[in-house]
Amino acid sequence: MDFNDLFVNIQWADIWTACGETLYMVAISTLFTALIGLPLGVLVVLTSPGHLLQNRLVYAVLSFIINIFRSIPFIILLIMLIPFTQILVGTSIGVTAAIPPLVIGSAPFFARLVEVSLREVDKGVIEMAQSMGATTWQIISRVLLPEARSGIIAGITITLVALVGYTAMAGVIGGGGLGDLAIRFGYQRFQTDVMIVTTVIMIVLVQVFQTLGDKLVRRFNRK
Amino acid sequence: MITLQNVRKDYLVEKKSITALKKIDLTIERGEVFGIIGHSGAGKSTLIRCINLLEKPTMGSIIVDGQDLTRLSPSQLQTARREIGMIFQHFNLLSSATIYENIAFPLRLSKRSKSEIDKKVRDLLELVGLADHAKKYPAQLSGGQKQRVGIARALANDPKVLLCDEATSALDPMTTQSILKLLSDINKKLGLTIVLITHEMHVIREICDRVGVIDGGEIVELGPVAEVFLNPKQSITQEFVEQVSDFDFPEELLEQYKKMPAPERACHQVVQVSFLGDTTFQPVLFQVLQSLPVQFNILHGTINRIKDTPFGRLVLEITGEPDDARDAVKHLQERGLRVEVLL
Ligand SMILES: Nc1ncnc2c1ncn2[C@@H]1O[C@H](COP(=O)(O)OP(=O)(O)O)[C@@H](O)[C@H]1O
Ligand SMILES: [Mg+2]
Repeated sequence: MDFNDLFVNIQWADIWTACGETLYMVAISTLFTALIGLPLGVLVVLTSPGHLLQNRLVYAVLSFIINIFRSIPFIILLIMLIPFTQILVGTSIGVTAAIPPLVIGSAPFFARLVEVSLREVDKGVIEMAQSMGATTWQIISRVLLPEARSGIIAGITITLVALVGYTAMAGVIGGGGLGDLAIRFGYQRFQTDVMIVTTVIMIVLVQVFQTLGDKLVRRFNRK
Repeated sequence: MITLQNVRKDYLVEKKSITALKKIDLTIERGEVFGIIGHSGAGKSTLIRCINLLEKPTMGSIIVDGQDLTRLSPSQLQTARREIGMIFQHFNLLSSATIYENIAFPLRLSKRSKSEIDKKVRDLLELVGLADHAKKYPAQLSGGQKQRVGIARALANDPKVLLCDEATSALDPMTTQSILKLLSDINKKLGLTIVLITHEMHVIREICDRVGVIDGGEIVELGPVAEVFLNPKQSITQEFVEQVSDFDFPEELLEQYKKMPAPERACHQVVQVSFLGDTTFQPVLFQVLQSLPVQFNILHGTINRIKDTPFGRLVLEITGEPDDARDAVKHLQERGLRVEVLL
């Protein structure tokens, strides 16, 4: 039996297209997740009791919103957000339409990861900065974020990997990508070879992201 | 330089108010090293943190260099704090920044120019003896080195006051000595006012000019270190002085005198004499011996230092007629010695 016979159903061109779609969705949504989740996480920490900008109301509201979005299964979020996506990006189907739900699904998750790493910053160091006359903004930019840097990078890595999984569901709204290919061809049409190839590629992607992330974390961890 | 007026601090813990400082009135002079000693929970940290308003007093005012910090707006307070350096028990260095960047930190906050920062940081690295470690990270340094970084950083903005919150409590004895020496040098060289808190009397003895003893949120005793050392009034102060006392007079020595028959006893007096400063090295005893028909017998003695002041303590047996012995004691007192009759 010829090697190629094992992969009769494989259309490599389709695979590469799907690969590109996955990377595109993951990259753009990670970017926006970081842009939204980072300030959100910082704000949650700062407004929490006993912190620099403590504010019960803001803290409670933010915490509540984050928990709500974290408890909705992504597949449902994807559908619920269709009207919102329509307004935001002008379409509710396709790769770009998958990005708003991906971001909204993962930003609260990432915000929590940011929160955890910021809480690990030594209180004494914040106090030191205050004693030297640092403004709140200086404490955020020169103390909290740099000190939590390796934790935040680890958080981005986790988010990136989770997003690879989420994109698989984006097929529901025509998002495309590897996961979509795996479901439509591999699962629904019993093309096991497609299933295997797409899965292997996703495994490789995750491995690469994780290894790079770990490397960066180690590079920035001075503890 | 620093005046605390009627300062009170209450903490609210689970809706119950805890008074950490009751009513503190304290003036710290320009250029002095002022120590505050007290047991754990006495209110030391609260007191020192009130000085730069890390802790806002419930009542009273904090005047540093003529400015009442409790009346400043947040941004005015930020500016005022740059004139007050602080070092901490656990150093509080930025673990993600190099030693160089740690020292540059306060300078970057006040937005100094690059070249200005570089010059200042290099000078400070030199001052604290860490010039070779500029590129390292805090995790690569020993405790003593970390505290040196802390000191350099605290000095970066040329503050007028340096606050030290248990700065040597996490260090071993040798390192403690070197840090205290550095602080003392800085105090002399830069004329910086230093306020330090500690629970260790030897720290006070090593570098402080004056000391306040704090207990239950109140200053219970205050004075020049030598005076407090030689004449502690409160029992808590006596306890602290005991901590560093190397003057273990064997009380058994007194027994033999107690057993003497009364007439013989009358001719033997046992006194403890404390010398301070210059008198320590003057032939005071010899001068008294020459003028009175008495004999001295030294039973026990030590010479030590309180900061830069030498002081000595002797236990003497004075043998002679009771009147002459009494005169001898008077003579010693007239020469400025503290004499305490033990027997
Ligand atoms: N942030 C705080 N909240 C509540 N109580 C505090 C706080 N800080 C200190 N206290 C209380 O105030 C008292 C004095 O504490 P502190 O100044 O830390 O003492 P010290 O430094 O002498 O050990 C203690 O009873 C302590 O429990
Ligand atoms: Mg303390």
